[in-house]
Amino acid sequence: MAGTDPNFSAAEFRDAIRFAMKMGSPGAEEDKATFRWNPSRTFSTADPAGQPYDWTSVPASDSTPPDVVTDLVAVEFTGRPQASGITSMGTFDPSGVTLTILDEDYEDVKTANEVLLGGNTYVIRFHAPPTGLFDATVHTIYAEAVDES
Amino acid sequence: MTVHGGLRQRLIKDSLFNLVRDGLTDLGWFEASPARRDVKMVAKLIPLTEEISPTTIAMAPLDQSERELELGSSAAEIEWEIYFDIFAENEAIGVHLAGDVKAILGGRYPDIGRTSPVLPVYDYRQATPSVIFTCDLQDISVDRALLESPRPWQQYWWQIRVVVVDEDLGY
Repeated sequence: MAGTDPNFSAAEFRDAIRFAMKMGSPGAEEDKATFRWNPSRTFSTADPAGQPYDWTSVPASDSTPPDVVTDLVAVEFTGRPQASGITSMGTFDPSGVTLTILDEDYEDVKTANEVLLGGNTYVIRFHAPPTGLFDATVHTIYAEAVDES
Repeated sequence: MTVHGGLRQRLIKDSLFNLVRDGLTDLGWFEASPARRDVKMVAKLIPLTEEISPTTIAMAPLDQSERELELGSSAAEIEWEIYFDIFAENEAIGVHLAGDVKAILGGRYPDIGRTSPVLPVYDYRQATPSVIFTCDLQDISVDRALLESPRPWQQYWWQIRVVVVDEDLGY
């Protein structure tokens, strides 16, 4: 159970985990985990779903967060099972990734919709219940591949 | 003013959404109540795999077909099949909401001003939208969706089907 323990330094723990995350992160900037958000725009005249009737209109506001590129995340890739694949009905069991991220870094990306990893887009599907190590909380995010280029 | 093509379709869809939403608003469904969870309504088809918090009403515009109205012109009668999915928190709410949506569409709810199965289509591009034409609402039916292995939010799932009939004269 999470809680405060005088013998445990959450700051040292986070530093050590982040060091390991950076060690496992690819060197090229474009290959690092890039969290992205769906566009969030408002228009002066829009339908109930918020989309404009005039596609040439300029958004009255655009609150889409900028992409967040980070190496403070551990990425575990899960390949497509051998027996599955692309069928006439679609793709079953797409490849996925499990992202592990610390509490302080999680705040920056927790509302993201998808993550770009090495040129492939993964849609974020599920946030597991967080686990704790005394004062530090660890978050796990599951995402599945849209396409694998 | 006459509108054509995709804009016409969107105004029909949005007018239908607002017709049902306004009717349910008049009936108090969107007010918080200690007797039930909050009710919300969305204008999109929700994928089967996506978790839905009850009670949610989702409008899904599906297939269209058309037939010529007369010889010598491009006038057509367009039939558009639209579904309202209700993911309710329990049996009573599901039956109640499905009945209310059906009555609103069918024009059988005089208490809130619905006395005929007609859809006034508004031009929502205007600051004060006005009715620019009407459609008929036909073949309204209610289905209880029963799945062999339902997800928790699919236990109390109703579908109200309506066919929107638009006489598009093409001019």
